[in-house]
Amino acid sequence: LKAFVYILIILLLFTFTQSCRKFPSDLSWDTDLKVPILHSKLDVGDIFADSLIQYNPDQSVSLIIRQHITGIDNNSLVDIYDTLSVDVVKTPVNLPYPFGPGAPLISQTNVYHMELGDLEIKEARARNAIIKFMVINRVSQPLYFTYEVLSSDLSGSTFSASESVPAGSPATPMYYSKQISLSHYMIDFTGLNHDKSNVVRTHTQLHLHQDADTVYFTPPDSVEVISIFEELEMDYAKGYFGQIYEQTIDTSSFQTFDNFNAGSFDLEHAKAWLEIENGLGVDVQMRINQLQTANTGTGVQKDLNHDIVGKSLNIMRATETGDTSNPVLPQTYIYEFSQSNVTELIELMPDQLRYNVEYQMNPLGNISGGNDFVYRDYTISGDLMMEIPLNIRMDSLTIEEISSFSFDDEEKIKTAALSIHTKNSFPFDVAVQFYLLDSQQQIVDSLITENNISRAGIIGAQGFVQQASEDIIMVPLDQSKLNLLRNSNEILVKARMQSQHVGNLQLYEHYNIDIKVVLEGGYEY
Amino acid sequence: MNIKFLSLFFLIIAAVQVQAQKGSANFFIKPRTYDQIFTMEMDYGLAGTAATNAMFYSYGFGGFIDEEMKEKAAKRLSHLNLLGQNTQALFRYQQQGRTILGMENAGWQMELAWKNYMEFEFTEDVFNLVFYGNKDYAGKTADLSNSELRTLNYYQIKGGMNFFSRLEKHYFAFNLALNLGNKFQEGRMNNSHFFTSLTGDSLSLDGNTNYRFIQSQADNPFDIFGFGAGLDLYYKYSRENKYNIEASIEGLGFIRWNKQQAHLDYSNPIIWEGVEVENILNLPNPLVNTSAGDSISNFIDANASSGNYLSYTPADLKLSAAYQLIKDAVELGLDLRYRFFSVFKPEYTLKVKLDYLENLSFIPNMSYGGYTRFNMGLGMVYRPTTSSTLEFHTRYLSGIFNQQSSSGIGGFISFTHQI
Repeated sequence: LKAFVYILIILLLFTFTQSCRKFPSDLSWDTDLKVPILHSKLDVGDIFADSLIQYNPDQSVSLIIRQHITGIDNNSLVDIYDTLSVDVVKTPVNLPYPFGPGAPLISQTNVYHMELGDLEIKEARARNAIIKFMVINRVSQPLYFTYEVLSSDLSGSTFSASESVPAGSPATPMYYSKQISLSHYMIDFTGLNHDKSNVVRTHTQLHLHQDADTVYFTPPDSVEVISIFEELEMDYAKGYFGQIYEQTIDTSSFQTFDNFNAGSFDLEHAKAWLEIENGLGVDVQMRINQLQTANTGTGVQKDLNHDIVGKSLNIMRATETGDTSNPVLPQTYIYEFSQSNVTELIELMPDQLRYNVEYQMNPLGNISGGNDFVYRDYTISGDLMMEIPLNIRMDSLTIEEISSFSFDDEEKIKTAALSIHTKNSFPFDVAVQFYLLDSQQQIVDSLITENNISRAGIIGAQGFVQQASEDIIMVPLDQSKLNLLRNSNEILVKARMQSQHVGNLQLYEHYNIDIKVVLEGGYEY
Repeated sequence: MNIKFLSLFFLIIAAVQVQAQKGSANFFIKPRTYDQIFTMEMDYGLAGTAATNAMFYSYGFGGFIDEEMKEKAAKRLSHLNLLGQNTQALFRYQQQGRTILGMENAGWQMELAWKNYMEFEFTEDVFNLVFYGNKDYAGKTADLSNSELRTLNYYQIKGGMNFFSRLEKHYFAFNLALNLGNKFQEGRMNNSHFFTSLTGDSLSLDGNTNYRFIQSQADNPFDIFGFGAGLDLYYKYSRENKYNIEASIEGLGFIRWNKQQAHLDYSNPIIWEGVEVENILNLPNPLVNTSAGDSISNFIDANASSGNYLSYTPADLKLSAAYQLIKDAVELGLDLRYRFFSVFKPEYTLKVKLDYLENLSFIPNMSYGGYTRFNMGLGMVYRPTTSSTLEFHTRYLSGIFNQQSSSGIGGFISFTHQI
């Protein structure tokens, strides 16, 4: 009887666990599915990835290329690295009276004129400023000093720092150094009467430390306090910045044509201009010595051939608005050079823009009366702008991308065929191919073995695509291809575009290729 | 014999076509010698109108459903089909034949019970889509209308009284129950259709989907997400050595689910054209997502709203009659059962009790209905001592021998001890 009860309890527990099992547990069976797995559209924006596409009122599409030309580094305008003050405590004779704990040794105000060449700075706000102190103590007792930058201000307070310095001796001086941040302080460099520049006013107090013993000073006993700007990054500065000359020779990368590994554009009516924006409170004379595009793949490069090259461009200074959130109204200049060889610069499908630009600050001297200004976030720079109407003829233009992927890790797909349903309203054929890659990104196999072309839309007499063409590209996957798919981690997708018509055709906003991928096959649940 | 009562009884039988499922050990033990009774019971059943035992064994042991199994089940399909799993277990302590508050022949009982239901009602097309896939439906519409899903797991703490008439012809008992809800799911597709385009480049689902469920990440059988109340009623009339008639309703009640309950009522057409990929050159990873579970789960989470909800618990109405053909040897019985708030269909059981030995009886039975159709079974009652009874019943004996064409596994087992 007891055994029966035990069995009953065991059965009860078994039943409980069975009932709580989630359908379908480990149950499996085969099915035949026909399911869409992907839906995507490839439009003009996808072909010209990383570029600005401009949709015009007539629905035509233009490509906007903006390549930045680096300007002047603001920090180079106000480059201060100089000593702020030097204080020395020394006695020529033995002093007959003792100095007790806390006794003052020196209380001195320094007015220091920094040697900054042509730079005449009146005021500046430090974004990041570090003052470094060095104290050389040859006194046998510890000291205590207070250092104040009298011409600094932060919310009504001047900068002040106090430090203890351990004891030293004439034979083994104590070298004590300390870095203190002066960040965000506004510093007035005009002196006590506000009629000078590059002047820093400091005050140093030196005492024997409260913990010191009484000491008699003799000639070998001395103390030196030296302070310098260790690091100074300006948020804002005002003054006269001199006639600084800078030359920038640099290269920026072109990403617009990254996906185009073969073929060529045929561009018509491209516009090009140089947009220069001066956010500095300084007049600048600028000269473009060279503007060149290059295709590092083919080794082809082309210089811009236009009057703007080699010509001095006078750029007037920006103005201050008084608005702290938007303090500068820059000066903007546009130099148009569409009537040039700029289409040749684009046709080589460049991946680099190379430029050589000279800048001359204050070409006429201090005409602002020392009222040049610079804000950290405002500088002078240029943008090479191109607007290319996509009136285009595709000649084997190829875009490609490598994607990481996994496929059927659980091996649930027993048999499969992919069908790619395309609806192409572009005026050019698009041939699609998928390549499976190995771990070294070498092509192992391609998926499409037969026709892989999505035909161009049907083009009417006016050059518009009147009707999209529909095609089905079949991708049969035998067991070896299925295994390759399962074992590959990366796939290269290539789309090659080929125009079949003669001459160029304008691309429009609504042109695209609609792609649906359908999986048909046996699947084990 | 009360003629009016008999008339009413058969009228009810005719009207609701109900039948008792299992033995009558629930409340009634003659209290002549003993007045304290301990009972343990367990009842499990898994059956369907289409799914066969061969499929159930695969389900139970995590196996593979082959083409033959699917084919056999497909031949049993009708437009709407059932699949149900029902588990119950209880422990009861009962006293009878006492005098309580001046009432003679009275008693009381208390009971702890666990009940679990998992029910599906589905169309032929649902079966075909699930087990054969949608390939053959390319260009066709599959009808999913009136497909339903119900799961419920709850516990009951019961207490009640029982009474005998003076001559012990009439016996009446009742229980009041506190229901503790653990799991709940209720889904129904109304006027719903699933369309696969001819080329397979789009799938669409229309109609109305109504789905309620408990939002809980954990699968803890001791979590309680709702409380409710229940009622059991039991009546038996017996003429010793002639016949007896029983009527009962068990599990009538409700559970009010707390705000963990979520409700999705979705009527907008759903069109699936594959994973939307921004740029075809940047393929998604994984390339083929073979698990739609996450997508469906995300869709439900995004469209469901939470709130309290009151659901009714499945309630079994049972009627049975037994007639003794040969004294202490052969008894003929008819059970009828109907389950409210369930997809369970009326179930009829015809049985014969054969007293093989004084303490051993065999009860062969034939049944039709419930979650399945025709089945044959066998019961056994064994009394090892005068104070103990073991019972085993199954309605699904035929499925053991004919797995590909029968549907139903399970049985009822109980142990009763009296002191």
